[in-house]
Amino acid sequence: MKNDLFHITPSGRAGLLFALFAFLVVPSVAGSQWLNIFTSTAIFTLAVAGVAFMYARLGMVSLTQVGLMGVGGWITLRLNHWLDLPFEVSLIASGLTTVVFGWLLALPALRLRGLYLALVTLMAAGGFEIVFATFQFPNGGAGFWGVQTGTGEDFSRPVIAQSDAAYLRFTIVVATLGFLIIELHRRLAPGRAWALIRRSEAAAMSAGVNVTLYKTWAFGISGLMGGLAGALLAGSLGLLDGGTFRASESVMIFALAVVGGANFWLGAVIAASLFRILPALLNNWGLDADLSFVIFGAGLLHAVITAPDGIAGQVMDLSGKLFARVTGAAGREGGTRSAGDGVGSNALSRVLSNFTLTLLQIPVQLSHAVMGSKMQASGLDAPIEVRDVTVRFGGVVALNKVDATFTKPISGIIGPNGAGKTTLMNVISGFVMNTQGAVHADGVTLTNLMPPHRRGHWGLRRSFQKEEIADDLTVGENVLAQVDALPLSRGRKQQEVARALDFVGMTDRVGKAGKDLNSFERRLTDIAKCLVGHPKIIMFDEPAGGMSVEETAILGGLILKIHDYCGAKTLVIDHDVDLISRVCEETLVLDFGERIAFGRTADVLADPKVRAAYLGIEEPAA
Amino acid sequence: MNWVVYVVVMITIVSFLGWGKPGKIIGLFFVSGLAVGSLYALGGIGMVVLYRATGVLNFANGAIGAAGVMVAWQLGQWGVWGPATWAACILVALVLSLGYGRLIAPRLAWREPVVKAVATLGFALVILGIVSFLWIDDPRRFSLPTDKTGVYILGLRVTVTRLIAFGASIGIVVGIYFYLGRTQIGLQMRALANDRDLSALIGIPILRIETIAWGISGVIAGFTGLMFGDLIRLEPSVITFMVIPSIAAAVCGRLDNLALVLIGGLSMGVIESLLTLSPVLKGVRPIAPFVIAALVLLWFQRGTRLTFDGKDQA
Repeated sequence: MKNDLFHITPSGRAGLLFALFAFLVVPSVAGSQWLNIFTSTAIFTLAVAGVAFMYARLGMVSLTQVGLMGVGGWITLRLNHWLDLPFEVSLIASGLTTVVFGWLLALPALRLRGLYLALVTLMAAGGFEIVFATFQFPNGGAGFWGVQTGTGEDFSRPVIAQSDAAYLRFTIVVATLGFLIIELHRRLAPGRAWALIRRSEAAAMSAGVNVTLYKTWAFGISGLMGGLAGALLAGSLGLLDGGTFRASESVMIFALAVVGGANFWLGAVIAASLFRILPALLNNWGLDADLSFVIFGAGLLHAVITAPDGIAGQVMDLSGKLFARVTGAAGREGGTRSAGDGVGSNALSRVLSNFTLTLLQIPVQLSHAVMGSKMQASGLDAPIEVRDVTVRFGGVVALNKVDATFTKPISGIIGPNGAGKTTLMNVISGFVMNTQGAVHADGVTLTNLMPPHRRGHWGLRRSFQKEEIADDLTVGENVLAQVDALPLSRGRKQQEVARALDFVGMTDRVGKAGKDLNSFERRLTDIAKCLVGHPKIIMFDEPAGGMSVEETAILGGLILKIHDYCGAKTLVIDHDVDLISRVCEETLVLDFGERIAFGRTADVLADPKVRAAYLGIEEPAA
Repeated sequence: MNWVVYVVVMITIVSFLGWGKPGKIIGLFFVSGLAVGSLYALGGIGMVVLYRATGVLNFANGAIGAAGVMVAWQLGQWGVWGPATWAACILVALVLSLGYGRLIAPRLAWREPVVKAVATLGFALVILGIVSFLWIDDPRRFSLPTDKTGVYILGLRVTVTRLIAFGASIGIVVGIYFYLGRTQIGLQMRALANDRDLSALIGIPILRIETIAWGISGVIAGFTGLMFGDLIRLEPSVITFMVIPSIAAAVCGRLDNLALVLIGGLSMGVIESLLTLSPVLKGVRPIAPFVIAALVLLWFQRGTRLTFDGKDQA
C-alpha cells in the first residue's frame, strides 16, 4: 500500500512531464502577451481541477467555483494592502479561508443531491457575483472593503517570482501541488470513502463512512483549489474586477470540466486551455472570440452524449492503445509496476510518505474523535434482542411490536413481500427510525439514535439487496474502505482485508476494479466487506437474490462458516427457503409487519400459519 | 402551515424595509417590484412546464429567448411590420426549443436530471455564441408600442408592457393549470411528471407529449425574451444568463408547482425592489432572488435525510 501511494501511473508520469515541460520551456519561449495567457490558463487549470474532482469522484456538481476564486482573490488583495504580508502568506491564508467557505457550501449538500444541489451552488454563485460587483476588490483604499477610486496601490508578487516568466513558473508549481493533493486524497481513505458515497450513501454509511465529514471535506478541497487559483489570479493581474467572477463563468468552468474530461489531469488542462487560450487564438486570427462559445457548447453536447470521459478520456484511450501496440500489452503492466516500487523504496520518499499519511489521517482522526467510543473485542456472545419494535410511515404500520431474541449464530428472517423484513433490518442499521421499542445487543442499545456509521464502527455489518461495490475501486480497496475509519494499524487492516478475501475466495481478484466484476464476484466482495474489522452482527438482505443454484450453495457454505471465522452473529433475509433451512438454526417469520412465528427453523416452517402466509398453502378449515 | 410562514415573513420584510417611509413610496417600489418579479416568474414558469413533463431543466431557456428577440429586432431594423417581428421572435424560439427537444433531448432520456440540465447548457452556449457572433456588441434598443402608453397605479406610471408581462405571468399559470387539469394531453403530462417509466408502460405517447411540452416552453421562452429585451436590456449575454434568477423562481416552486413559482418570482421582485429603501442593502439588491431561493430550498428540505438512492430530493 505504501508503495501504491507513490506509484506513478503512465498518465501520472505524462502529467509530471507535462508540468516539467511547462515549467522549463514555456516561460522562456512565450512572448509577454502569451505569458499572461498561459499564467491564467495554469490558474484556471487549478480551479477546474477542484470542480472536476467533485464531479468525477462524488458525482456532485458545484457551480460556485469562480465565486470561490473571487473569495480567494479578495482575501489576497485585502491582506496585501492591509498588512503588506509576503505573497506566499496571503496565498496560504486565502486557500485556508476558502476551505471554510467550501465547508459552508457543503451544508446544503448534506440534505440535497443531484440537480437541487447544483442549483443551490448556482444560487451561491449568483450571490458572490453581486457582492463582488457591488463592493469590488480592495486596491489599497481605506476601510473594510478597501476600495479607492482612481489607480490602486501596487501589489507585491512573491519575491522569487517578480517577472511574468517567473510568476508563470510559480503558478505551475502551485497548480501541480494542487493536483498532487487531490491525487493523494484519491489514493487514501478519503478517496475510498468518496467512491462509496458516490455509489450509494446508504452503503457508505453502513460501511462506517462518516458521510457528512467526507462530503464536507471534499467541498473544502474543492474550495482550496478555487481559493488558491483566485489568489494566484490576484497576483498575476495585481488587481481584480467583479466582472471576472460572474455566476455564468462558474457555470462555464463546470461545463468545460466535463468537456475536457473530469477524470483526468489532462481534462483540466484542456478545459482551461479552451477557456483561456482558444478565445485568444480566435482573436489573433481576427475572428470573433464569441465563436468560442459555439465550440464550448458543441463540445459539451458531444461530451455529455457520447464521450462521458471527455476529450481527455479519448486522448488517454488512444495513447493507451498506441502504447500497447508499441510495447505489447503484457510488458506494460509489469514495467510500470516495478517503476512505482522503485520510487517507494528510497528513504526520502519514505519520509514523504509518512508525512503525507499523517496529514491525510486528519479526517480519519476527526472521525475517531467524533466516534468517541472505543473498539471492542470481536464477536458477539450475547443475544440480539429486538424489543417491541414498531415503525410507522404516516398511517402505514410497517412493523407492529415485533419482538424476538436471536441467540443462535445464524438466524433467518422470512416473510412475503412487504412483510417488513428489510424495514426491520433498516431499523437495526439506523436508516429507519422506530417509533417504539428498541434493539439491544451486548449491552448496547443500537436504536438509541446512534447514526448508521457509528453502528458500523461498533461492529454492525450489512449487505443490501443490490450488491453495493464501488465501481472505481478495486476489490481490495472496496473491502479496505470498510475498516478505514477503525483505529487499527495499517498493517493490521491489510491483514484483515487479505484474510477476508481469502475466506470468500477472491484473493486472486484483489486488484480487479469493481466495474469489471460479475454479480457473484460483487456479492462475494460484499460478504468480505462484512467480515473485516471485528464484526459483531452481520446482516444479509437477500444474498442469494439473482444467484444460480451453485452460487447459492457456495454462499450458504460461506455463511455457515462465519461464526467460526469471526464470532459474529448473522441475520439472513431470503426468499430461498432451502437456503434458510440449510443455514439458519432459528427463524423469525413476519407478515404485514407482525411476527407470526419465531423459533427453530424446522418448527417454524412446519407451522400452518407460516405455510398459509408465506408458502401459499391454505389452512384446512377448522 | 407553509402559507402562514410565507405571509408572516413577507409582512415582516415589507414592514421592516418600509418602516418610517411614506406609504406612497412603498407602493411605488412594490408595483415596480411586481413588474420585475413577473419577468422572473415568466422565465421560471417556462422552465417548470418543461421540467415537469420531460425532466429537463432547460438552461437554454434564456438563450432561446435572446435569439428570438434579436431576430425580432433585426427584422424591425429592416422595416418589417411590428406584429410580424413579434411573431418571428416566438417562432424562432419555438423552432429552437423543438429542435433540441426532438433531436438532442431523446439521446439523454435515461440520464440523471443533472446531466440533462448540463447538456442544455451546451445548447445555450451554442446559441449564445452564434447570436453574439451575428450581432456584435453594440448598444441596441428594442421597444414595443405598448411602452408609450401607460396607466397610473398608486401614483406610479406603469407602462402597458409591464402590465402585459404581469398579466401574462398570471394568465399563463392559470391557463396551464386548466390545460393540465382539463385536457387529455394535460392528463398525460401530469402522468409523465409523476412517473415516467410507468407512464411509458401504460402506453402514454411520451415523444408526442414531450414535443408538446418543448413547444409550449419554447413559446413561453420567446415571449419572455421579448419582454426582457424590451424591459431590461437588449443584450444576448444578459438575456441568456437571466436564466439564473429565473431558476431561482423555479426553485421556489420546487420545479413543480406553477403557482408557487409565480408567487416566488413576484415576491423576489418585490423584495429586491424594496431593498432599495435600505441604505445598507441597497447595493446588493439583486442578491435577493438567490438568497430567497436558497432559503426556500433548505426550508423544504428540513428534516429529511439522504440515505437511500433514488430520485433527487427536494
